[in-house]
Amino acid sequence: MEFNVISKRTPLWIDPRTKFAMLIFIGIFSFTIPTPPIAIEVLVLSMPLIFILAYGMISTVIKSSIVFATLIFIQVFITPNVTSGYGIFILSIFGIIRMFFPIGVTAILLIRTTTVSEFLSAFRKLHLPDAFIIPISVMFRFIPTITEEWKSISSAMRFRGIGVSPQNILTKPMLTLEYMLVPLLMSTSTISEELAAASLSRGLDIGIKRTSIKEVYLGIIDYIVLCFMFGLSIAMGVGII
Amino acid sequence: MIDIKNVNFAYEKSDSSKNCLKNINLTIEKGEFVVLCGKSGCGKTSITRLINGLIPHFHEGILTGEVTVNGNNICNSSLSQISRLVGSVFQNPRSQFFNVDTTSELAFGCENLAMPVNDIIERVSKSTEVFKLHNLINRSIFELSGGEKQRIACASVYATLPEVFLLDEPSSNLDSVSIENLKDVLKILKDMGKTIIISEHRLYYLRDLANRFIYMENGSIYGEYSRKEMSELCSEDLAKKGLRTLNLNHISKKACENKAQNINFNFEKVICRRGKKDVLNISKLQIPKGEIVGIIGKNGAGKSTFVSCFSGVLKHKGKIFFDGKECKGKSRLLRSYMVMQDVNHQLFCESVKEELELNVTEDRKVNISKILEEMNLQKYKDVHPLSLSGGEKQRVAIGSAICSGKELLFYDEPTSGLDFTGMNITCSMIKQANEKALLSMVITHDLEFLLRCCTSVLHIEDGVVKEYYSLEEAASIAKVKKYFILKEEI
Repeated sequence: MEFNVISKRTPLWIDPRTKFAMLIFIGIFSFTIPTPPIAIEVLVLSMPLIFILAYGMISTVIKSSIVFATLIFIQVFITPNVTSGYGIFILSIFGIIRMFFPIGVTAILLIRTTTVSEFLSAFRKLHLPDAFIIPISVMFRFIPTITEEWKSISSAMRFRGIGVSPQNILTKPMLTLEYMLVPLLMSTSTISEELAAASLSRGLDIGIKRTSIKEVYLGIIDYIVLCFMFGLSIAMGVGII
Repeated sequence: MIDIKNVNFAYEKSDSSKNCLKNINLTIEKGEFVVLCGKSGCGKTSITRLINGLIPHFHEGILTGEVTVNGNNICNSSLSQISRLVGSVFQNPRSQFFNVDTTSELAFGCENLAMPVNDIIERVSKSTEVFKLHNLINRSIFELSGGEKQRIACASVYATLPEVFLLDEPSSNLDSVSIENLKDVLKILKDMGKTIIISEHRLYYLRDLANRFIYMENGSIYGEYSRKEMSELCSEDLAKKGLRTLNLNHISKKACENKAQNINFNFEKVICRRGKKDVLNISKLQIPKGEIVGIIGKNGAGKSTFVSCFSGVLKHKGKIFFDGKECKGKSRLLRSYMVMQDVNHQLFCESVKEELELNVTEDRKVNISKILEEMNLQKYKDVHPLSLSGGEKQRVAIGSAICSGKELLFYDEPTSGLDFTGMNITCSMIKQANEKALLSMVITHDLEFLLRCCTSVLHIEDGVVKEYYSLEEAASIAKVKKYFILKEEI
């Protein structure tokens, strides 16, 4: 999975705060309504997908649509016909995947289209304390780093015959997990220390005043999205849906 | 400009007398270009940390003495105050960027100074111009090459217009073209009258720029050399001090025993695609058994892709033959091992001995203690591999490759950031490991190392094999030298 952040703003640019609101909204939606009408579910999922499409990540949109369509297909045409215990167990796994799927898609939108400096200024506008803002922004900075590190660790594991293969996961799950985590934690802790040193020596610190060349602001599109989510929440709360 | 007086420092976390500074006195004038040199662990990096305030503000320990920059005592200033005066470029390009895109990174320092947005934009475009970064603007940091990252790092420091530029081994991950670019950048800064302090192993590219070389040993300053004095040191003197060469032209080829036999590895139409682009396209290539092949080429030329395909971790089209028989990716993977640039990625066990035993199976007897001895690891047998030093970790990694009976050994820039002594050790280890292997391949940007260790050269450019030649004749040695030495120098 690629995690390069797209920094160019598109006409459909939205504020990171809106993306966060969307993530929270979709999270609540997925967990509180176990079996929503399919039309509503499609409507909700299409929200992050439209913005992902606006950033030109066409393959992500196509892939997620196919996965989602498959999940819906399973629910509509296969679930009603399965009665055996084993089958229901497998179907419930698909159910869980479907629950988390929209959240994952929204997370992709948030992570891949928001730069660290946008995170910083969005959080500042929410008047959150620096001691919270800086570590959280660094965390988002870390996601692509971890994926990069992981690529090299996983190939190192394959050279030693301890790669993350189905066979190794089934026969020695704990050992495989250990082999994954030890180098990953080691390298990320080194990187985080070096990163902290580098950022501090470039003047980032708690309590300093800061400006940003990429100001974040709530525009018309943000308000449309926020109103849409607000309306949908009310409709759900009242019980129309 | 910079005044270090009677400074002693010991890191809090380190237990030994290693990694500390003893009685440092150093004055650097405005506009001077000073190079800190010496073996790994001599205290070069600690000196740079004194100047940018990371000691004592980030790395804690016991500090006595006084450090002032432009009259400001470092101990009494905050890091953000110091950052206005001193700009730092770090060694590791993957961990020095706070942002994930280039434009934000260029603006980052200015943003932290709370400059008005219009001024920042002006500064950013000025830096872009000075450092010729037009094609790098608005890109993801993760898709840049090492050299491009280092240029962005220099430019983003430049944007805040500090008086002092501090660079900690900026060339470690760079190819020869990028080093040449870095040299140009440093020249620009020097001509502007900036004070430049650089801690570095590779000295050749600084030869014409530096005013002074400070030589350190075990945490103390042992000597100071002017540019002229430094250039008069002969290669034996440098070797004794553990320093790299000052002039690439002076390196001579060390005799390497070539146990090459008949053609044994055959590549036919090996193609690897990423997206719509062929990142590797080898129509035909033959490599004899027993060689130590140095793989050279620019950052991003496809060297790593080649190694990944050959070793079997990456899928590709086309066929690779061993001794005339086709050998598929999966069986190549079983026979290969790669020593990575960051060896931390490949040490998994709780002790060195366990690490070596990891792939030893019952049906194949391996004399672990003999290999421990050969790799000079006997005394670390029960130590956690991740607590060892960089060079020792590398030895563990190579040792575990030998123990698991791997026959194709790959190394990804094994000498980046190593001093002369460390490079020599790595060199003899690779030769030793090759005795038991069929083939060793080393990706490298280090001419000094290449001429000491390799028996042939594979030159890859734009995903295509440009040339493959043995390093036996004087003509081929001249050829590889010509590749590394870009500008004719006397």
